[in-house]
This record gives sequence, structure tokens and C-alpha cells, in this order.
Amino acid sequence: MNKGKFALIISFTTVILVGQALNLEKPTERKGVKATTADGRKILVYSDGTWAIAPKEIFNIPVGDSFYIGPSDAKVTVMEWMDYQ
Amino acid sequence: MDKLRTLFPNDVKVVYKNFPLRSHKQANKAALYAMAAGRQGMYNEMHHKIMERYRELKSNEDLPLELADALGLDLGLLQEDMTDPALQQQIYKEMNELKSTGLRLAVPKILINGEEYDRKKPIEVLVKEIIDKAG
Repeated sequence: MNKGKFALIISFTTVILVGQALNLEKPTERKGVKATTADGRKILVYSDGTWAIAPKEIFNIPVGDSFYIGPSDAKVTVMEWMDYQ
Repeated sequence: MDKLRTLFPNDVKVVYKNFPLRSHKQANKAALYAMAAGRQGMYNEMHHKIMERYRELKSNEDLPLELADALGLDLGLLQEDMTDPALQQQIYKEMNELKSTGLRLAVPKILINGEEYDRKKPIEVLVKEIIDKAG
């Protein structure tokens, strides 16, 4: 083995050992950019590169002629879309 | 939903909207039966009866007729109401309401005071929090 190869191997080994000794963490790989969070909220990205999770959206769907049970002026309206299978 | 109504009878209103999935061939007809039963004041009863035995719909799409009979409904009137285009239009309207939100079209889909329920905590816990906050 010539001197050059030997020096190269020593250099790599040193880098690996020093890295382990310093407990350097490999940066997390980011695969793609999600448009929403797991619970469906939008991720807003601003021109300066900062971002924020948008507040939850409130949908104003009227009761209309749909069937409901409970007082019409209830504090909480639970609206459920369902099918029968 | 029944549990919510039992726990908070004065504070909770439950609204049922239909979204029969295309892949569930008998679901639309079952929804029509429930709505027709509603015209005889028995929507809730029919809804629950169908839900209890929904698996049987696949092999018997007219199961709701049997259930209606057991509930003492006027079967002739029920079948007549089933054919009223207004009921089908109501189903389409309810489907479009969900589509208009832009949310993922999967059922059951629940909104609580207009906000999508994310199932992170039990619904009765979340509803109680909202009621307590409202004072």
C-alpha cells in the first residue's frame, strides 16, 4: 500500500471516529413537502421562508331540511354525514 | 351520537346528512327509506333500525321495508314517498354540502360546531369542553 492510500484511509477513519465520538446526528431527510398536517390543517408558507399551521377551518353548513334531534338552539351542533353500509 | 344526546340532552343537537357512497349500492335506497320514514315521524327509529342491521342490506336492499313494517309505518305511503324526487334531491344537496367543504370525502364525517372532528379525543369529552366553554 502506498503512502497516499494509507493517508486517505486514515483520514476517513478519523472522520468517522471523531463523528461518533461527538455523537453527530445525521440530519433528517425531508421527503417532499406536505400541504396539510395530519389533522387536515393547512401549512402556510410565507415569502420570507417562515411557516405556520393555519387555524382549523369552520364550515358554516346549514341544517336546512336535514333531519336532526335535539334543541334547535343547542350550544353544540354535531353534524354527521353517513351512509348505510 | 345517542350517547351524546343522553349525556347532554339540552346542549347537543345532532344533524344527520346523507352521503351514500357509490361503492355501497344499497346505501342510497336505504337513505331514501329513512327519509320517507321521517315523513311519518319515524326517521330516528328507522335510522337506528337500519344501522343495527346494515350488513344485511347487501343481500336484501328492501330490508328497510321489513323494518318499517315492524315499526308500524304505513308501507304504501312509505313506498309512495320513496319515489318523490324531492327526497333524492335532498340527498344530493347533503352530498354537495360535504363536497363544498373541500374535506376528504370519507364517511362518517363529523363537524362539531362547523369544525371537523379529528378523533384525537373522545367526542363526548370534546363536546363537554365546548359546552363548558360556552358557559
